[in-house]
Amino acid sequence: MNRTDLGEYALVVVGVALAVVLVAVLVGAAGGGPATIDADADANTSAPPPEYEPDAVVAEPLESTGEVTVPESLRAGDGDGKTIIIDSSSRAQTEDVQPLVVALVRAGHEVRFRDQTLQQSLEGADAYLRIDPGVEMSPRDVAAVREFTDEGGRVLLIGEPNRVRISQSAFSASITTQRTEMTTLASEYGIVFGTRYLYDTTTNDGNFKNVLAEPTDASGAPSLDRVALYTATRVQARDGQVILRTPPSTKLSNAGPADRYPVAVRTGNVLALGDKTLLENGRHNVADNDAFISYLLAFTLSGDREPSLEPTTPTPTPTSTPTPTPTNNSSTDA
Amino acid sequence: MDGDDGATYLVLVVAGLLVGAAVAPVAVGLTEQGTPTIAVIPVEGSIDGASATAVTAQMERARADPSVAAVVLVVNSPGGAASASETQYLAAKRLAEEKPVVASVDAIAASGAYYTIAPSDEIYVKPASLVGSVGVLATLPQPVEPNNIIGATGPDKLSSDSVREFKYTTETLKRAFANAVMTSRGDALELSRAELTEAGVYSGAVAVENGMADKIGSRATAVAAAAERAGVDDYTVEVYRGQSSPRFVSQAAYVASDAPNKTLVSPSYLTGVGTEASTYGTYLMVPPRIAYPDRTGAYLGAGAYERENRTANATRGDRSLPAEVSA
Repeated sequence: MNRTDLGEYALVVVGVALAVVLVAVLVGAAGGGPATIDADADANTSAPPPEYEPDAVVAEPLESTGEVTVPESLRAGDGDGKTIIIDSSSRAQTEDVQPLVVALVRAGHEVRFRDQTLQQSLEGADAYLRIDPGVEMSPRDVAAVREFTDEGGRVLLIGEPNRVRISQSAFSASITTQRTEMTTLASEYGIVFGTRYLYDTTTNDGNFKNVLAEPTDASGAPSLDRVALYTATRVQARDGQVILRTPPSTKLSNAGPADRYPVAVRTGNVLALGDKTLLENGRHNVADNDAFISYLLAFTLSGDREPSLEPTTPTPTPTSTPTPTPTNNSSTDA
Repeated sequence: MDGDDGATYLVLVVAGLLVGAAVAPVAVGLTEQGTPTIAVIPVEGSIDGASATAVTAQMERARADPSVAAVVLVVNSPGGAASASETQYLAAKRLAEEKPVVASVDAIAASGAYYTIAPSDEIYVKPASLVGSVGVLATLPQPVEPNNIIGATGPDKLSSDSVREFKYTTETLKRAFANAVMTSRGDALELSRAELTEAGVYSGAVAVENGMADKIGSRATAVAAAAERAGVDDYTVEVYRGQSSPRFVSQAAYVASDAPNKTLVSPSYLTGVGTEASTYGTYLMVPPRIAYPDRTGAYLGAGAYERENRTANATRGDRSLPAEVSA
């Protein structure tokens, strides 16, 4: 093929290409109406986006099996059952602490909801539980509890962060703040309950307010791994031992920094916990909660309080109000 | 011409056909497209199934229309239903895979609205715009079983039997949301996943710093950015409007407003009785963009449609946005 032939070939190629383009232009111009939508012809044929893959999305609930039990060594034999008082000023209703109560009763111990003055209730008691009270304790009652713990009685204080309560009626709605009124009693033991709630957006039980706490070495509970708390607050104690701490990713509401916050502390015969909801049915056995509640029961039953030898001043009309009836504090042994 | 020459000619003719066939679609496209369009899709108000259907239809229309070179999502929405927001996210993502998509946040792009614009190539905000709220809200189920009023066939039929399980459901929705944002925003996002899912709402300036948005700019800037991403200099701006969501203003409010070129429409616009030539009712004053959502009149800028001059003036060589969008 010589140079002339190449020129001819090139012309032919260009000519054919132009002809095709021209035809295309004409066809395009003739048929160029408004654009049409392809009616999602391929909308559902592509693979699901990886960000929506079930493995990447589904939040698997923590296991919730197990049962609250009293350790074998602390179960009651004949006539040596212990008495545990749950204060009636607690906001917790019976059903809110049912797993704990059932475990105690099954183990042969007696659980009483305080129905008389505190001094009378503590008489002969071995442990005292005050759970999210709605009223502060009077100085006289604080002194009675102090005396109780000095005698070897065990006290479990359970608080909550401040909560917003919305009340709605047909014509209005009101917002109030509900607080754990525990300051007078807790401060007697150098314990401080926080008012802000803890949260963790990465490690939780299905919600940022359901933080997962871990036991410390001081807890003496190596079998515990994770304890699920439901809207907890931090608890601090002067000269106390931290029993549970949150993971470092936990934050305090109102712009608190991420930290390992203490949520359960012990000082002497008093143990303070920053959440009551874990005691509820349905929460009591999430993760290691059942084992932790058993741990709390072991604490309450391990006191060595000797019953008072001297009778307290009798009160003619027992009352369930928290206002104390005057008693002779010196009547109980120190 | 001998036998070899004949074969060579044949080869070259075939080659010519192939070259022509390769070029032809471009030629057809150019003919069909004419001046490229930047489609502006408003994402306004609360997001629900109906609005998601309208918005995704507009996104699909823009995606399928070869004359649309790029899309601008103009957002002013506090969010809405989770599934509807996911629908809009998927549509926006699909659109962004094929064409440049730029978002322009007016007052707010929160929650589901931010979900929608997350796949955008760029997000423009103003200093006072609000973006974020990556999370899920739901009313917790109340214990209503057992009762003797409503007979249900399962414990979770009337209301979830477990608040804890219900919260896990919302947590799952949140994870999907967070995954979508983390995937879409990629390295631009300065926030960690933990910080993102605190569901904070950020002002525009802060959002640019923490990567929830990209740049400060007006809607006109967003349109120009979309055009630049599409590589077009001369383009038409077309505002998509859902015909199913006209919003009317009272006469007093409309007259008092600074809406440009207030327009009167016939009662037939509302009632369907009579024609548009009927006497204008003074109480039926609506913004032109509402009166003519399907561009039966061409947009001239400054809020006016010219019904007679339909297309020629629609091209905006200066690349500025119509006043109705940038107002």
